[in-house]
Amino acid sequence: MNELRKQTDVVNAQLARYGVKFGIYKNNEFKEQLFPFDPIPRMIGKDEFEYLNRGLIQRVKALNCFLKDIYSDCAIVKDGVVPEEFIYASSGYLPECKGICPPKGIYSHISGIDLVQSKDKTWYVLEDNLRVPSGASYPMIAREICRRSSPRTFMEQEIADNRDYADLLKAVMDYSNTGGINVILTPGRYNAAFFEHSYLAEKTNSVLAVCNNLVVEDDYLYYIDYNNTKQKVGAIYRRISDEFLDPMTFREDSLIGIPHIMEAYKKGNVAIINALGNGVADDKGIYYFVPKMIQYYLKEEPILNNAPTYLPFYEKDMEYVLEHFDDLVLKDVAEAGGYGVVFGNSMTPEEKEKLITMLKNEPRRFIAQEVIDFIDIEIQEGDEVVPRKADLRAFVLTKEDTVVWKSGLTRFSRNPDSFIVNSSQGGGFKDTWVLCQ
Amino acid sequence: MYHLKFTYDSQFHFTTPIVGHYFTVKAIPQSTDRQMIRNLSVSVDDYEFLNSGKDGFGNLTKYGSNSKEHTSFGFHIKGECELYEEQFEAERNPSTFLGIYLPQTQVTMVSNNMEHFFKQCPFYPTESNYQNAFHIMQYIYQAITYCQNATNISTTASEAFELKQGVCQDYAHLMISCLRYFKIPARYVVGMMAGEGYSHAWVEVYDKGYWFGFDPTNNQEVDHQYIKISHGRDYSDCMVIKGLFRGNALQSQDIKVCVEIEGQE
Repeated sequence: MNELRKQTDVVNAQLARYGVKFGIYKNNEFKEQLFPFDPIPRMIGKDEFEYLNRGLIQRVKALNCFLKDIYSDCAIVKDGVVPEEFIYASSGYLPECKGICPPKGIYSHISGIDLVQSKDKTWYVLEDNLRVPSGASYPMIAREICRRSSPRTFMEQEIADNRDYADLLKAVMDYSNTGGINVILTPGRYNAAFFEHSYLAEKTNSVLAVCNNLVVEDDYLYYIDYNNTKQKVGAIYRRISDEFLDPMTFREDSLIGIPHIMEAYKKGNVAIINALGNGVADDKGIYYFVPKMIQYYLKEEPILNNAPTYLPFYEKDMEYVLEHFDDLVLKDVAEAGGYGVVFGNSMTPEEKEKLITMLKNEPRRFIAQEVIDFIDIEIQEGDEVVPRKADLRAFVLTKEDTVVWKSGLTRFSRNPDSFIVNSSQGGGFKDTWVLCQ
Repeated sequence: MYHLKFTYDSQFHFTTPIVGHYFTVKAIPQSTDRQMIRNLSVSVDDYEFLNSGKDGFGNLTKYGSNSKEHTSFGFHIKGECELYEEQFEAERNPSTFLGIYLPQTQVTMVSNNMEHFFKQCPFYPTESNYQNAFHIMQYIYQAITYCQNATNISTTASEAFELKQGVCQDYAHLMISCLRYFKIPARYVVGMMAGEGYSHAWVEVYDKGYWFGFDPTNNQEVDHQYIKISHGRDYSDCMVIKGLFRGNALQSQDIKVCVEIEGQE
């Protein structure tokens, strides 16, 4: 391990050489940053991973059931488990998807579940990402490079090999494929995660395409190569969000989408990975209901905990939130990427008053959570080892069965006082080792 | 029962050739509880690929593309319609599809001035949605004046409200906005009305399992003069023609809608 630490600069230089970057748009300007890698891995023991594995599979199964239900019978709403306001007022709910059954009935093929561990070692799910969760490529390539720069570390430690992610992803695409090639659709070179798109395409033997390479004719999607040869597409792992995917159905000003791809999808002629409309299930408001979904669809008790969450939408919760305002963290359900998150105790009286007014006017727009005192994990800063806050994004893949990738993306905050670890806020990442014993 | 005959013709001209043209036509009426469509014919000019489908609201579509150079595009829909005495449509899935017609959309969003105005609207919690819709329709009808050129296709309810002018689309959006303000599910309808001219827009209001049509532009309940084409949350779900093309061309559009009442039984 010490040897690996000595190799930090070598590994980071290699990552830079491979273009492991993260793009950020700030004030309308595109800035590309290296995604800083920290060599000290996060280690998860065999039993602990076994526990996470069971909990994550259960959670993703329930979320897939929920999506299927919401776009067909809505039994969970009829039975009064989830109030309809939380479905239909969610910007992630797409009425255009009503009645569409995606190939093999899978909605969330690749789920990124964000977890944190508190000081008493309890794991909490902070957020589900069911649209286009990114990040798997970073630990993949970091592991690859670490193994090369410090082979002995990996001979001495019994670590689950995480280089199977590409095979898992390929199996997911193949399983839903309706007949044709696998394609990864990227918005292009200036996307925040372009490195990941190209890397995954290479590793899964899929075709990396931009919208101009793809065309819908007679309800089928085709890839047109440099030779003008047309090939039918059976599965498209699209790395652009729903509203940009089909300018004929959603935003007509989208220049990165494929006109009429929705029609091919509706007729069952192409698998779109992940399915459209998943935003309704990873909405911060819906998060509150995930444990109830597990009970409702699977008739099981939830294995993983949600962070204790209050919905000001319910009067009782509103009272609690107002009373304990300073102890809570408030999240705007419409925001993502670490934006719209405020800690009650860090606000000025004016800010507080303003937020409380907003809260009372639009209770559905906010959730409040107890602040979890995350465990500190070690990161290397110069020659020193310092404690920092970190989370874990676990990748859960669904084909015939649901599996959890034996690794994950551990992101940490470089700022000692911050709890916000999002890469768009300047955080770094480490490898996640799942131990074999 | 009333017998109607309808034609819907739309023709586009482009000043220079265009390529990469994609289109979706949503102007095809279908049989419902209140109308029966017979002898329907749908034709499209200048296409390379043409297919039929349904959108998420159940509206019929005809869509396709043309990658080759062309300077015109058109579609022609005609058929016959029988309208029943009962002028309402049952909602088969009230619990699964109703909720989307309650939240305001970008277009129907209530401004402060609108809220002030809606607060004085005659609304009686003890009356049915159907009865309240009458009061609301009359109230909206008086709020704005019909004017052809004051607003355009992307005018919101609040913009039309400030102008105090608008066309059927603006009347419908304002009425929907007010109904939803009072927690009454309401949807936007595009259709055709007896006579000749353009397509028309009105409102459907939900009450105890049924949708009832109200036409705030004419301050009347929807009757045997109306053929429904599509419905959605607001105009953007019901756009009769949507298209994308490449080319440095100006386009002009001719629309001819004609509905004749042939007789009554």
